[in-house]
Amino acid sequence: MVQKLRSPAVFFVGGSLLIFALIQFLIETGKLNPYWQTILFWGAAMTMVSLGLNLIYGFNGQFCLSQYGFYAIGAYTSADITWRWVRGDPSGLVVVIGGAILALLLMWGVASFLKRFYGVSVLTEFVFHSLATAIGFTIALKVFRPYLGPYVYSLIQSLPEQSWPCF
Amino acid sequence: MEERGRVVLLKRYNGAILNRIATVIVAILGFFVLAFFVRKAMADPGVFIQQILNGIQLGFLYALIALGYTMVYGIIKLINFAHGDVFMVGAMTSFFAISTMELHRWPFQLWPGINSTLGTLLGTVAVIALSMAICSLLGVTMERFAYRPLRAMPRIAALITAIGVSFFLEYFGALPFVYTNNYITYPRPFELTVLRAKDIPPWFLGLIGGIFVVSITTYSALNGLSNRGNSKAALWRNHPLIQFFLYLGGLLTIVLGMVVVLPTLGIIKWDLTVSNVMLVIMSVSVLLVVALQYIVTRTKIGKAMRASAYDKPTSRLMGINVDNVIAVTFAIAGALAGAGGVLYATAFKQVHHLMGILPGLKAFIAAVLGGIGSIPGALVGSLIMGMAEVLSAGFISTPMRDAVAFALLIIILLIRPQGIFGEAPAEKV
Repeated sequence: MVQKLRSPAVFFVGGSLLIFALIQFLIETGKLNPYWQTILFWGAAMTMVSLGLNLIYGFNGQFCLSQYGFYAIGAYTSADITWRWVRGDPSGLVVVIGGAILALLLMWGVASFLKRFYGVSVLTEFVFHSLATAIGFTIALKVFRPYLGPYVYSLIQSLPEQSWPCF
Repeated sequence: MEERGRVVLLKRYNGAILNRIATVIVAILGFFVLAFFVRKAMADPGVFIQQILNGIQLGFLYALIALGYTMVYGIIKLINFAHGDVFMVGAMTSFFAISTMELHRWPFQLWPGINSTLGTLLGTVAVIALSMAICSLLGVTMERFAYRPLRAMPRIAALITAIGVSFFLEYFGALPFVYTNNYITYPRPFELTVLRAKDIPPWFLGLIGGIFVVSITTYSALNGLSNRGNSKAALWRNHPLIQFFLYLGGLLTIVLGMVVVLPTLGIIKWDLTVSNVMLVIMSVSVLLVVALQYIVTRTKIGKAMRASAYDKPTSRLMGINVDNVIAVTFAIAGALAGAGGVLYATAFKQVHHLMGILPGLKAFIAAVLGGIGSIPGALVGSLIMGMAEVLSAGFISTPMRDAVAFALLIIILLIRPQGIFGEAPAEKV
């Protein structure tokens, strides 16, 4: 048990929580001005991007130049969802989240199906996975958006506003 | 798969049927794209052919950059991401040579009575040569100080360094005392003239057509002789001079024939235009590609380059100074990018310190498309890339042009991962 507590992962998570608490404390007490907050924000955002890259290159051995593309897609997606949401339109949220979940499920199904075959070319994998993604997002756009959208919007709007001590 | 304590092997089926289904889906999509372009071409053949001509121009510009990528990759297996910025330095050098030194006017200052066409030609050649020389020097410097110390390191180190050099060149150029970060209007070394049927003298057309006919006749005769076992004829058949006149004559005959001859004869009624800039781009690109082919296939340094690309340790044992060969490769690649930069700026009339990023990336992709490491592959890949970009900008969507061109690349690479002219890696068992 003691050895488990001494493992690097525990130190890492504990350290991260400590740093997080410290930074929150500094922000709340006004010790950390917006200049340093911006720098910390960029540092944290870039850490996430580089962790992703580390996973792709370090573990998979693939040099991925499209990481900054994913970064941009994330930024634009959040902006699009928010922009629509404040105008009373939940379609951004419903289509992106519903489409992503559905597409992931379909791609998982495709991958499981293709696993049962040998000699499948890269082109085939690409075509079937692309089809799964296209079908997932089309269903989200044509079915989820008109039928689920209003319910999701009213459900989230009906939630009581919660104020957190730190934010 | 484990079931009640015993391992059950998952039964797997042959995936050939799935491969066929995927091929059919891609073929259907390709057919729709083709049908779309055929419909556009039928609706307005003039605009379609004009876009093809513009695509050829852009493709040749990409080719000059792509050749540098492919040569450097061929010899040290490094994707030199700073190559696009060498192209930018070429354009900027020519800008300063023209605007501050008036280098393009030197024949008129030296010989005031010189024929204006000859003077402009010599001036333009001087501007291109200066840019090529500066970019060669930059290429060699880059190799010496950034890449050579990392040659024994893991490949990722050199790759990241290349990206670093690229950023350094871009943002060093943005400094106020270097190139500034403004979009600068580029003063062309010669005036742009839109050529129509009446502007082109018949003797010029006759000369171009004659060169093409003589070249193709000579090529066919030598080909026939070499097929009968004449080794000298086989050697002469691939002579750079014959290749140069064959390619250039062929290209110019097709372009000028479409623009000038056919409408003049009343066979077609398209209002096609071709500018002198396009003709210069085509001529310089073909000249440089043939010169490069000559250097690589017929000179001692070219032989050393091929040997070093094939096997560096053995080349060293054979007495080849591999470091020098790599430096020469960078110099040639830089010179080609420099020439490309001048021609690009001449065509689009604007220079900027970030102008190398996108053409550099597209040329890299063109090199991969053609099969990285292959010189004809770089040329063909660039022409496909230029054509795809211009046709999608013209008929699908201007903002989507890069996305369409890159999607084309993905599809071609999925079908042929080694590129069009690339060789599949040998399977080592």
